[in-house]
Amino acid sequence: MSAKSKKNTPKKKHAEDREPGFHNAPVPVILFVIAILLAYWGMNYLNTNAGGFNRYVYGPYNSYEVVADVQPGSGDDPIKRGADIYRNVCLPCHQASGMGAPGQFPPLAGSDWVNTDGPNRILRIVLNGLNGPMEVNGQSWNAAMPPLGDVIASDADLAAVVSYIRNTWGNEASICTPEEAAAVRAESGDRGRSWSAAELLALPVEVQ
Amino acid sequence: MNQGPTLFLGVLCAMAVSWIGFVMLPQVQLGSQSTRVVKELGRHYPSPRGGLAERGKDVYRAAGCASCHTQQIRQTGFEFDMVLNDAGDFTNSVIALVQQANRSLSEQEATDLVAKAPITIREGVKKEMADHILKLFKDSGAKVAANIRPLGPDIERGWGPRQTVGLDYLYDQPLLLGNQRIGPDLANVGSRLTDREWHLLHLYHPHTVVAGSIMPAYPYLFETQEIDGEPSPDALPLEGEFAPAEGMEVVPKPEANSLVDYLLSLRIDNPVFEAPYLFTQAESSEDNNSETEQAQ
Amino acid sequence: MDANQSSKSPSDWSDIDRSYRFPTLFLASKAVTWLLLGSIFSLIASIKMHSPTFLASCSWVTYGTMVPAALNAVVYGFALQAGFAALLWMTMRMGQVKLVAPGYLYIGATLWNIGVLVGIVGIMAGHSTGMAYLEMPGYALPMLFAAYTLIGGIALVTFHKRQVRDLYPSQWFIFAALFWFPWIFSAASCLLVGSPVRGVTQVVIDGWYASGLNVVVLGFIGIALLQYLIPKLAKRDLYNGYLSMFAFWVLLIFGSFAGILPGQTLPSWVGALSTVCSVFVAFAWIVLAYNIYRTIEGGGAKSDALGIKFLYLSLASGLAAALLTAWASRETIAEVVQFTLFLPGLKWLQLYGFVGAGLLAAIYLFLPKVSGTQWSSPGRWTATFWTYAVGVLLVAVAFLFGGWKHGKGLTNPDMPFMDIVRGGIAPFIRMSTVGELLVTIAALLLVWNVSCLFWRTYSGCLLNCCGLAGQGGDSGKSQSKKGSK
Repeated sequence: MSAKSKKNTPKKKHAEDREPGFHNAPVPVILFVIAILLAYWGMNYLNTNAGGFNRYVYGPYNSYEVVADVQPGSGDDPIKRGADIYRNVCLPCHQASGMGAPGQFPPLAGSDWVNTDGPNRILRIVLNGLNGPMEVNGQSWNAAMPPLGDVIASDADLAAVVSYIRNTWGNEASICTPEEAAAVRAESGDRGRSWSAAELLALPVEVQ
Repeated sequence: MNQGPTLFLGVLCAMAVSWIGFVMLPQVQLGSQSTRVVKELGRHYPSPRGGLAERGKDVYRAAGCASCHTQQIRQTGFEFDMVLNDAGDFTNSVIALVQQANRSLSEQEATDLVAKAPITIREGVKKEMADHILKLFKDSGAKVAANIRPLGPDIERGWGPRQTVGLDYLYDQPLLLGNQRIGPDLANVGSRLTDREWHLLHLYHPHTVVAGSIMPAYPYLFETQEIDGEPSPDALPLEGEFAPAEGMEVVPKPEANSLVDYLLSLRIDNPVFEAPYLFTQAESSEDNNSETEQAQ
Repeated sequence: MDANQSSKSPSDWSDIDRSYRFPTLFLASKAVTWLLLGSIFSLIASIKMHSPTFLASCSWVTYGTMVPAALNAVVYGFALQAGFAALLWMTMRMGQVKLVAPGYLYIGATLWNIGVLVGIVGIMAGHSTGMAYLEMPGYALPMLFAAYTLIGGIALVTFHKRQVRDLYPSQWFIFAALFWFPWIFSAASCLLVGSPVRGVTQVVIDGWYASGLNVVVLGFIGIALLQYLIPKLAKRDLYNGYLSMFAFWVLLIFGSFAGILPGQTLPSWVGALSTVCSVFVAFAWIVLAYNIYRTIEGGGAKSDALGIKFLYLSLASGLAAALLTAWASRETIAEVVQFTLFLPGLKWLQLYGFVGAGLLAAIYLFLPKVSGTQWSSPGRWTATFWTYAVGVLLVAVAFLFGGWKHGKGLTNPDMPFMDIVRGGIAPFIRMSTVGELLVTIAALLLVWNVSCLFWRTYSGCLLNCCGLAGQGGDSGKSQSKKGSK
């Protein structure tokens, strides 16, 4: 090996200002072994420390689930918590009475979209927004609702506000659990565009 | 690799990978963030700085304060304090459960604690233990909460109640987060050092308020002028070697005032989703009104 | 398959080298001037750290303006400019082709210097952008980009017109650096300064730009120099081209991700990805160093004792910087060294120790060949080397150890901050000031050396122009220059 790396002396001695050449000796196998081991280590490291490449996972928390789980007040009454969120996020458009505004924002009180057996469609509307014509209680509406998935970032909060909507102003539908909210968020949270009424009606009301 | 085109294609692919990894992906994730409603504050967070503070940020940038000061609080861990909020009806079994949760308590101590609910029954537990204790109390009729407490040298040093996250800097342009701590961290300095005069003196000459400081002086932010009849109300109370000559006073220029406004606007004093902690009523003096409204 | 270049005898180089004379001397002399200015700014900043009232009354020389001014002067004024000069020379030599359109190169170089000057003055005037490595205000950046299109364009055309089609490993590195720089520079300028992205995305893109600049652009120029000059001086061939290829691809793909330590205000995936890539970069560096070690193993004296010293300093610093970055990226270590003097220490090793020493070696070795004049005082060059080496190592070691102590103090919440700064890091800062003084002296000697060479090369011409010809020695010198090798 070392004999090969010594300079090949051509007929004359290498001149002072000679341009270097290079050999293409066979690469030692150990290089590939180490490279593969490093790649394996790298994958493992990213698995444990990268927080699932999630934008909400910082510092000592390992995953989105952990962050969502440790939120203070997670044990509170969800309806009360939902009321707080409704007041801050939804009330400006849908009003404190849940009646909305004619021609602009559909009502939530007594709405056939809200009083379904499961919260699947409502969760998706809150997460991604809604655009285009829809029929609520027989009336036609054509409005745009912005996506709120980022504004209501935690699944517990999302479940709370949906539970509140489904149990106030005379609505008597089921509570939405944080697990259901998490499941729907996982499926459609990154959708990036609003739903249309037709797309939603094609989906089941129960969360899968 | 003797072909120029092969090399070029390879370099192009590497550029694409690099771009996607650290330019496109962060832009998709972080660049599209918007303000968020924070329940504890009852409003959107963060709110934009006032006009004078924005100009102060410009002074901060131009003077290069970010070369010595960071605005980033780090967090290295978290633990929980278990709080008994409501003992419920079955106090005897709850007392026993409290003793199980905190084995260092005698029966008398546990009884006292239960009587004084809401009260902390155990401090500083890790997540597994916190989950275990919550499960203990699940069907007992008592209400127990696990309150998260962030840990870290920055937090214990009093630089802030939680780590800083991307949401805190949404309105900052340019970001002046800094990466050297030759001076203390400033992310929460507006909550920590609230005295305007202290800041002005510190900027004029740090030795007036901090002996032995290595921070340079910034006298060019101030004006040394003749006392015109009555001393100006803005004049700095300088003494000893820092006092100006007889009959002169030092007043801050608009740059100094706006810089201090900016520093006083630097606050990290509410939890956010990514960095939770228990927010107590006392921390939000300005938002007390919205807090009482929620009680309805 | 052995790929030995044909051994051209020295007299054949003269026409190739000569085509490049004026632009090289121009680039090199401007570069060393910027190094001097940068080290003066750095020295002022360092003095301010223990003498806060030093030059306090002027807003143009605050600590916060001197530090970015020094960094930008050294990166854009010295390192990139000397880097362009070095890579053009290597491209011509390895491709055995004359420089294409040297006149445009001169225009490009002038524009570059004007851009850097405007940028530095802008930083001092308070218009810094606040972005690390890109503090020059927005109005200076287009000038730099325009200058680069000329310089980079000429380099690429020269590369394309090469006579020897086989590529030596250094040429891959040069090619990659030439493409990488305008890409990251324009992207960073647009996304950070032109139309800034929102929030902490700026931190990630800034880190991406800084890593790309350090590891890929400047790092590749430095590596190209090491792989070209060390075998050249040792009169050997590079041990294994495949090892170079491996290192090339690893550094190219992963290099721009390295260097963002975990613990900043960013989601954890950014720091974690950066850590993994820093380790890959360190591994690639080990492979490179091994390759060079095998190249010179068992060899005799090198054809230039001082040149090889610069190159060994460069290699050792580059390897140390890569290994230390990987070590510091681990979460437990990053907790200690993040936000401390450790990071400027790494920067000194990388920028001054590795890239700087490599470029100084290049200047030392190729300016005489290009200009046709020898250095007038080898003793001054020895002094330059020793003051530079000792100065850089003093600063780097002071910052690295001081940074560790700094970090340990920061992680101890019971230790008051003033104690950390006063007792902990003050002695290290004093040590670094001494080091920076030595580097400034080295830069001064360097400027003296290069100016002497410049004068001796062109004094005949200049004096002819001014009608002062016919003064014995001078015209005699210019006569002998034309015939010399």
